Amino acid sequence: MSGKRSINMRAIFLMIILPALFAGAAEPDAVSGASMKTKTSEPELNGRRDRQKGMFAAFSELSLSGSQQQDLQGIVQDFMAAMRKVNRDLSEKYEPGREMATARRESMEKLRQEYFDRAVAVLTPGQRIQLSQTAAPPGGDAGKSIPDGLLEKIGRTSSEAGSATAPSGNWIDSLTAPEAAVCSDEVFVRRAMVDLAGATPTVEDVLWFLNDPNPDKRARLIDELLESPAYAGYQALRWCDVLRVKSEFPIKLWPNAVAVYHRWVRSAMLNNMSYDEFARVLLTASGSNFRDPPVNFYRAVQAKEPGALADAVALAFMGVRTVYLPESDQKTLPLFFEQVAYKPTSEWKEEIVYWNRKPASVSQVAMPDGRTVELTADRDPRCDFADWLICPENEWFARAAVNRVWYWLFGTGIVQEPDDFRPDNPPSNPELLDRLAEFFVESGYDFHALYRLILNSKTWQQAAPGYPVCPLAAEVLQDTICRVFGTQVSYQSDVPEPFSYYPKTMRTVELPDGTVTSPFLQTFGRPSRDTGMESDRARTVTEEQRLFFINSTEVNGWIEKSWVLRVLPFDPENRELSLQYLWLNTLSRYPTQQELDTADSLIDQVPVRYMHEALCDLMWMLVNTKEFSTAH
Amino acid sequence: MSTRRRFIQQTLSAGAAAAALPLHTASASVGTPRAKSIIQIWMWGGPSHLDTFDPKPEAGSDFCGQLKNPIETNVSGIQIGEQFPLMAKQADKYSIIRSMTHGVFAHETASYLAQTGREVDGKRVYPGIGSIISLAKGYDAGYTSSIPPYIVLTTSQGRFSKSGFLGTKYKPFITGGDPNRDPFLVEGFVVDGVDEARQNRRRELLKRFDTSAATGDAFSEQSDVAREQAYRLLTGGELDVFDLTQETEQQREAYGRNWFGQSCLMARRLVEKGVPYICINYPGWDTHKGHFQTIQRRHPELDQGFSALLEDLSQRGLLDQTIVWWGGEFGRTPRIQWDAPWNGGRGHFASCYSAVVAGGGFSGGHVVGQSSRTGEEVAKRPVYPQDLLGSFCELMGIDPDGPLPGPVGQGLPVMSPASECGRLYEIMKG
Repeated sequence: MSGKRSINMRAIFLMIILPALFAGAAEPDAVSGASMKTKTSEPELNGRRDRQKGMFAAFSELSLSGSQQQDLQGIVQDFMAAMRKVNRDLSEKYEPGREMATARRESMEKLRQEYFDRAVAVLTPGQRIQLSQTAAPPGGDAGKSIPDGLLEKIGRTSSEAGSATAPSGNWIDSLTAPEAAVCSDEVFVRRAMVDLAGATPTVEDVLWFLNDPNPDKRARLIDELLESPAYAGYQALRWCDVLRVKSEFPIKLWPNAVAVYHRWVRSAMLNNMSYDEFARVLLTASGSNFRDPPVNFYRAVQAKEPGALADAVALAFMGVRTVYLPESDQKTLPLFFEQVAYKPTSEWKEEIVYWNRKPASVSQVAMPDGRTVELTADRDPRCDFADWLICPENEWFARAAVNRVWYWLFGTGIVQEPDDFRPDNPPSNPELLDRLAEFFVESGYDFHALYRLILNSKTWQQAAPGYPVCPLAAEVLQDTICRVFGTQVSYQSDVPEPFSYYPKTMRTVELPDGTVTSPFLQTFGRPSRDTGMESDRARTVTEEQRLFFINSTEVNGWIEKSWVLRVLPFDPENRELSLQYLWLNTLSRYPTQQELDTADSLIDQVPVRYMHEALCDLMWMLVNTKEFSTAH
Repeated sequence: MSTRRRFIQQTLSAGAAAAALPLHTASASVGTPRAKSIIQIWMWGGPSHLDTFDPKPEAGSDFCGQLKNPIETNVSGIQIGEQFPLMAKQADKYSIIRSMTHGVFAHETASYLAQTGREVDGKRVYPGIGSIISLAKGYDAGYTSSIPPYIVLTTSQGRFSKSGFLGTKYKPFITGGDPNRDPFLVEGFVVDGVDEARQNRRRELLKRFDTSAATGDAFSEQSDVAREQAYRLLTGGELDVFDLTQETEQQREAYGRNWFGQSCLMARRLVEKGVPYICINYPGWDTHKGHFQTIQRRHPELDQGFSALLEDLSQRGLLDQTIVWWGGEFGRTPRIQWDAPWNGGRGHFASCYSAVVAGGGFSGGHVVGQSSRTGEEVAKRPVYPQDLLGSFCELMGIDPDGPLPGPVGQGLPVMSPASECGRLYEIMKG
């Protein structure tokens, strides 16, 4: 294996990221091409450079503590010194030439590995997972060889390694009375990453987590994932479903607006903007759809009339479908949006959303909860509405939000459908809903706090089927496929013209635009984003989906070309490790002894020339398991 | 389904000497299906009506360019574009609607309107005609074949949601692949290198392993059911329908050895299998620039495939039970844009355009409606998308004014009410 090793994360980490992070410690020659040159050809070098850029950005988003920064800086300095020493020693020993270059390469390789391990040891497991998730694009050539020592590490680790103490749980558990036992560490790390970061863990992620001896590693992983850019990306995806972010028909935001709007939502999530502020900014925004992203809230509707705007607001922030409101309330809500107006600019498709001040048709409005709101000529009625909506007394605002999060995590809302609050559709557990809402308000509408609370409960951490199994979101599944097979998808949107193209290295989860063409995502339930209803994202398994995995050109092609099958050694001596790698890579867990034995005996029976076919079939089996395409 | 009487509200306006139709009362058509299948040749992008089925030589070269010599067809009085000599010989089998109109000039909205018969209402996304047929004639209505009831050859339309609020179950099956290549690799059904024996080996393998996942939950059961259904499709023994090598070489040549020709042939084979809705999604008609070069290249292909389909269906006695619908979301500007950057192009045009219908209870050899001298306006008998689609429904035995079947239909009407000129009773066989 080691002979085929191409540059991997460790090298990049040491050579590029660390020096640049601690500018001043780095010397220019440390990052010069000379030390980077390996056996690879020119085009690959270019590819590398792109990747390095991406990984640098990702690393800079990690939040390192002061002592961690200090430690890493020390390691970098030691590394630089060690490199200088190696260079000195070599130039004494060799004349410049091929021989020296080879010796140099080997020494450097060793050094990088050594210092990489030391540097990574400084990070917490969660930081490592963040680094590997955001640094390595899904699939691509980022991992076309098995990193050195990984198989050995697989052998040294066991699925029980450093097993976490069970969470102490919290008050949620007393209201839900979870019956099942707490899930294993393997299941936990996958579940946490899927639910918070919209990604399945890599082999390294699982090993890191298993090997972490810290007894509160589960709580720590949750904290770290919440701080990660991957969390922001996944939350943005979910909110963009709710906010109907797509560029074309029937919503028609237009690509520029989609880009800025998505970015705004994403950074709100990255900065953990409080939900009351999030809602208020969206509700009261005025300005250009290209320059003031939140105003797109008022453009992401199928019809821009007061009634339609009220429908969208009620659905997104109250979890209410206005058709079920009493008739009087159906007439009330649009009053607040009668003065929202739109005007074009001289720029193509730019539009200004503004408050077109005019005398309100009424001055006193009786709200659905019986309170009265006064409208005056000198205030935008949208602000009056926001004041009414965003306050602890409002019976919908906080409840709808916590219920939505509950739905995202468990697949069923406490009120189900999660955006259909009405008297004849009561919550399944009213006390739970009330207390979560109270908690959310008291926390200052803090999503991190809410997630932390729920994810640290035994309710969320119980093993399936106590924990409800449900399909992975289409985007997460696509990214998982890319990671497992080392493939990439390049997305484009054929509407509207000019077409939009997205870089191959982009995670599917990060796609801003619901209009992007993708038969895969369509098949696996991506929402149309036409309605903003949660049910728009299909959570059912269809025969079309199964057919795709059983017998599609794509899946078969991915399997046939899978680099993993090419490089893993399946000789009797290494077979167990390789099989374990396959399972860890595909299902993020170790195989059971029985699975190992069955696979082992299968391979034994196959003549050498059918080996590849048999391995492909094994791989086919793994991706066809229910486990592969579910959150469990 | 209700039977109701309808009266023709508008006299038929046919081509000069085309056979005059007697005025008749269309009645009792709903409930007794004449047609079993629909083949939609979807001219994605919008084909020029002037250069195809509504030539206007008298309007001058600003409108017709070099195409000044429309040709006679086998129905006296009906002339069509000079690039369609083969279609000219089949004119007795189809009727031309020269007064299609809806006034929506953007692809997305027009595609939606042309296939759902609905204006964008800002509340719901309605299903297209293919999904309506899939709902009314597919698995919910006793269709049992393992070949999906709504098939699109070969790529998705993309800009149009197809099933709307009906949901994914009624979405079309998109074949992928290219029927002009052997084998025609139909997504999910035919894969190179995985034969039946290997498929079975894999299935056994999966049975041995897929036990460790969480079981006993609702999702796992649903997943198992879906998997079994997928295998039922795979092993249903009907996959031969996609094997075009079973056709004679002569037959394949007759349709044209290209994507479109072989898609038409594929559509005929699917009709024989009883598939109720087949869409040939034929892209590339959005000819803003270089219009005449494009059609010079592509009209012969269209002419050959389309005419071969009509002839073949007719010879096999299938045309009577198969509606063939040709058209796009709109037509193209009759006045040619000669200036740069168009350099002889045609833009979007929805005020007046043409569609062609054949078979399935439509009589052939007629012209419905009339366009103005330049083809820029409807002169007589406007036909709106809902009139056309509603006519399809009636011929398929679905009451267009009745509710969509089943709970997914939410009790909403199948189609918008017909416009004041009504559905196409003048060309529906009594």
